[in-house]
Amino acid sequence: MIQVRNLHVEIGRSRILKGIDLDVRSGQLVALVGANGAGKTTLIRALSGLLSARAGTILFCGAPVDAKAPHLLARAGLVHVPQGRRIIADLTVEENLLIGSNQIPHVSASSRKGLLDGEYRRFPALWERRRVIAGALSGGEQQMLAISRGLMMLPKVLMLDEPSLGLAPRVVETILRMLRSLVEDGLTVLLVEQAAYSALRVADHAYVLRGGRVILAGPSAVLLADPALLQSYLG
Amino acid sequence: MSANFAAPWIRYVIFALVVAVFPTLAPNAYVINLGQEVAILAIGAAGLNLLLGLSGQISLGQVGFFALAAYCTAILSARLSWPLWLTFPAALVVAGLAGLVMGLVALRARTHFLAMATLAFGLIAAILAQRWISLTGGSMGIAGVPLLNWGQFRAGPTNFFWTIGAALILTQIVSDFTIESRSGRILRSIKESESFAATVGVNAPLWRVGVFVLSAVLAGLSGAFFPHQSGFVSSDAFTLDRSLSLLIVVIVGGLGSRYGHLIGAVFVVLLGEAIAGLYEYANFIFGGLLLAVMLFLPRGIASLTTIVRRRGEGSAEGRLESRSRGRLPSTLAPIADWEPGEPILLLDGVTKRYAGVTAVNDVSMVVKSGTVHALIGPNGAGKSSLINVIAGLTYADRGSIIFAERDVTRASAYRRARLGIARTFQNLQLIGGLSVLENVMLGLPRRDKAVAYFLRWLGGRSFEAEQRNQAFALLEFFGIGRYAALSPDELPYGHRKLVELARALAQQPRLILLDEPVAGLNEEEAVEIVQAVRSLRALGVTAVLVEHDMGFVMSLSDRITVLDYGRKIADGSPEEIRRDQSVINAYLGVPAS
Amino acid sequence: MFGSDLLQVVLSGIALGGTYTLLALGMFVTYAASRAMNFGQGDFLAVAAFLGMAAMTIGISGAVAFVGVCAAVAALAMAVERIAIRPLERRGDGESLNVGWILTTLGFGLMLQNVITIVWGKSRYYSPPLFTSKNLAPLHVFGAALQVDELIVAAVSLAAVAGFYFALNRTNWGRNLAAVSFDPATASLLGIDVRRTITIAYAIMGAATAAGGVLVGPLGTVQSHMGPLFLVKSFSVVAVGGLVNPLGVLIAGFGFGVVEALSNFFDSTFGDLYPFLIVFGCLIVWPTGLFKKRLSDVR
Repeated sequence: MIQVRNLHVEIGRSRILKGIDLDVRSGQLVALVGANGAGKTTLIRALSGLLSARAGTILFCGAPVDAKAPHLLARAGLVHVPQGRRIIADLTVEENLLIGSNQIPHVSASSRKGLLDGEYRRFPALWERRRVIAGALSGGEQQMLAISRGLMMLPKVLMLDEPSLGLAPRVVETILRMLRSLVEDGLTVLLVEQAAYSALRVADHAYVLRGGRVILAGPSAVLLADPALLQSYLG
Repeated sequence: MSANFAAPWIRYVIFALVVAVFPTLAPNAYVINLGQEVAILAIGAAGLNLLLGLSGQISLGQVGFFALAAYCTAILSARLSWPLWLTFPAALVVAGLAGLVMGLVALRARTHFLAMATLAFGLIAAILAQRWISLTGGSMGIAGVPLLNWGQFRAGPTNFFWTIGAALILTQIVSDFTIESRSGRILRSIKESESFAATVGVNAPLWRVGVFVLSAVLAGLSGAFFPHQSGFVSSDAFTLDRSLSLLIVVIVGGLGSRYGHLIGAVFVVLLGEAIAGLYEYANFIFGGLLLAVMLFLPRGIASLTTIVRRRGEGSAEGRLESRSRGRLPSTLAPIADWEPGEPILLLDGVTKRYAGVTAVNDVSMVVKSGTVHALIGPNGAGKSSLINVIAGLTYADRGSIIFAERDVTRASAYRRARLGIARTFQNLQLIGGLSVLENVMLGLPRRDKAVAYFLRWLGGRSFEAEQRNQAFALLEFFGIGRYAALSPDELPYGHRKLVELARALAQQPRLILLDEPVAGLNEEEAVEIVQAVRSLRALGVTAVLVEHDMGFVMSLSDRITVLDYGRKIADGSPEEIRRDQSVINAYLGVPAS
Repeated sequence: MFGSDLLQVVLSGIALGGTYTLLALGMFVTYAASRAMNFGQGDFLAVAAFLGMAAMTIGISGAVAFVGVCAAVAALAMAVERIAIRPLERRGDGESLNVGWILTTLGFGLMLQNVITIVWGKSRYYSPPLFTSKNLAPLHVFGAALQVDELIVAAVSLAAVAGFYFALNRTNWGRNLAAVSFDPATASLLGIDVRRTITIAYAIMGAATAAGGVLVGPLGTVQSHMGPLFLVKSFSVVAVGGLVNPLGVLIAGFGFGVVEALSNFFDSTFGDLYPFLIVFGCLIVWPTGLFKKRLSDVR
């Protein structure tokens, strides 16, 4: 679904990504882990079109991503749930849920309603607070909202940037298990996380980033057993 | 940016000669009049250049100060028969006071709010001029204002020109001195980052208001000359167009440059002459000029004449060869007046909340002098917030901070800087408008007495030589002396971080806060930083650093404090931390059992 | 009678305040969309006023002139966004101004002002009332004579505010605007075409400004240099109303107009200036405006 070859990305004059190769296959949950500053967020932003590449290629469903506007990629099914949730704080929960979906053409009002009901079933807390201004939600609820909002856009690939940020461990586990079940149902997910163990336990395949390069890659079970993983974090 | 081609005093001698000779060379009185117009514009524009170009504060109402001064001198001389050598200073004082008021407004209102406020000020001044007929005569104006011709009628225009020319030279001296000296560096740093300026000990609000007053006085100076040119002043002269023409002069000439206001003034006056037949379209042309210059040549005409700066020896991207590592001169040695190992920074129960989120929760920490103390934790743990609280960019909601036995909990950032806390920034607050050397000089404490400083500048020879040498020695100490003349934007990322370190060291700090010193660096560059921090420790400087790169932290730190969700979860030596299970859990999540 | 005089003054103040409200709504929507505004907006108003006057002098009916001028100025507004605002978005280096759009829009406004002066000169013009053919007499309420045109302005501004509420809360564009105002990058990740959202916002600013311009003409006189003062007054309204709340803008707009009308009634020479003093006072005490946020200001 996503194919990255030799990707180099610069921000200002600093080279952040130095030749990344990455594959996200359909129906997989791929984890992208690494300590902070390794370039994970930069990579995901390059994938969704917010950053342009200095060199290298990114293919989404076989078509190059380069220079395509982010909103077009999002409508085409490459959905990026950004770091820090970034909920529209002044809109209600329901408005937030609908806003992404409203941009997708060829979705009838009734199917949109169906999707909405589906999300409310998935997260009953959102149903209860559907008329609440989104800024008033707790961190965990906001993360649920962000994920649902992404799912409402009928993604082919759902990319999440550190959904665990600032959340209590129990909530994090719930969210990760939910992502796993989505993948079991056929969704493709790219998960960027700092908490490597937790992410690897729900992933099929994983990449470890450090200093803008992929230093470890493989099936997550293999990586979990590898002591090099701990070393890449704590030195 | 700072290269002096000739000693200042020589420039002004030449300038004076030009002014002296101009009326003689001019074919007729009309041309002399044009020269007067240029001078009036240039003096006002010099003030706006300093205000907008250096300190980044926008004013669309300079006409207000112009009008205040013009009326002041006209009324005092025409109605009360005061001599001009008294009315001029009075006019400048009035303009300066108005500048003080607007400067205070500028502290509260920024960017487009300030633009509107100054626009309103200018419009209100114009309305008052028009309608306060008893004072200003309104549109009919005040006649019988004495001409500034030193008593000679025929040579009047020439004498006026010489007088205003002298004023222009004085203005140029003030402007050049401000730009080329420490004031220029400080103003430029305030424009780009006020919080950074505070951390090098600059009282930013004071400087902001000060430059506003200066710009008002210069606008007032040009306004004071105005009535004495023709002997008449009417409210018709004080329209928004005058503020906008000053703006156009400055933008077209080159914002922030030394001669932009002169170039722009000449350009605008000549353009006005060229389109004299099309005077109906004047505003259209000038409006279009403003639009076009902003879109296509934002740095103005002056940027066309900038010599392309030479690249440093060796490409900026090149590998790091062994470079000369200078020794640090004793005059720059940090104040090592604290016993090594004694607590120099004490945090007790520090709590910081942001909009309902508790970023830092009851953190206590002891930092010992002469050590490298690291602050680590997963993303969002509160490390940057804690650094900002220590530096004084925000204040703790609860708890106390004792530095060098002084309670600094409520002290402002610039006060803490003066007490000996220096810092580097995660997102690098280097001032792009200054050279690398000048950035380092920003850290140096001020030593000279004002008058001696000024005279040395005027003389040109050894101006700031000592400071330059010190700054250069600091750059050499970190092995990057060859970049001294370049702009920071031209350096590779790793070396920009070294520049920040050099600048922090220039402050002769007791404590240096390093915010992610190796973020974004490759292996080689990180090694340089490690060596740099070790040298700092060898000098007796205490370092507190925030970092994610564990290799860096483990190899360098004497002590580590770990935060998670704003709380301290561990505190100890690197070995202890590496083995601490709660730390591992915080970073990686709970491992599968 | 003094009372009815006062009532008349208050009502004409409300009418004038309606104009400020219309401009202020335009400022609000452009700032929300692009974190910039049109410093030549006053000159846009002047253009609309003159075009409206010209149209009605020729004999075009009030309603057609209104719609035509709104369309024309909306196009002008989209042009200023394209020419003077968008090109400056990308400038990132430390040296250049991050308020360059102030200068470019000022330049654009200056050019418009000159066009007016070329065609109509600098003198004051009396604009014909909007509905000349109907020859409506003023309504008499409590002994005060209310001009129909004044009522129309007040009604239009109320309608505009209502329209704004509707647009912001019930249309896709309005919700997209909330997202773009919050963070353009996030908005684009949600599939929102940020550029188009901004362009529509500017078109709305143009239409609202034009409405104000056509309607303000008959209330007093029009003059080529009338723009800047309207700009500053409308900005004061938006600053007090909070740059984020349409209802606050409406109340502040009417309030400003009434204070101005009353000040002019009691002191015809300097009446214009008293509202400014009050605004300055308000802003010193409440720098973020008197009304709470409707749109998130987080950037």
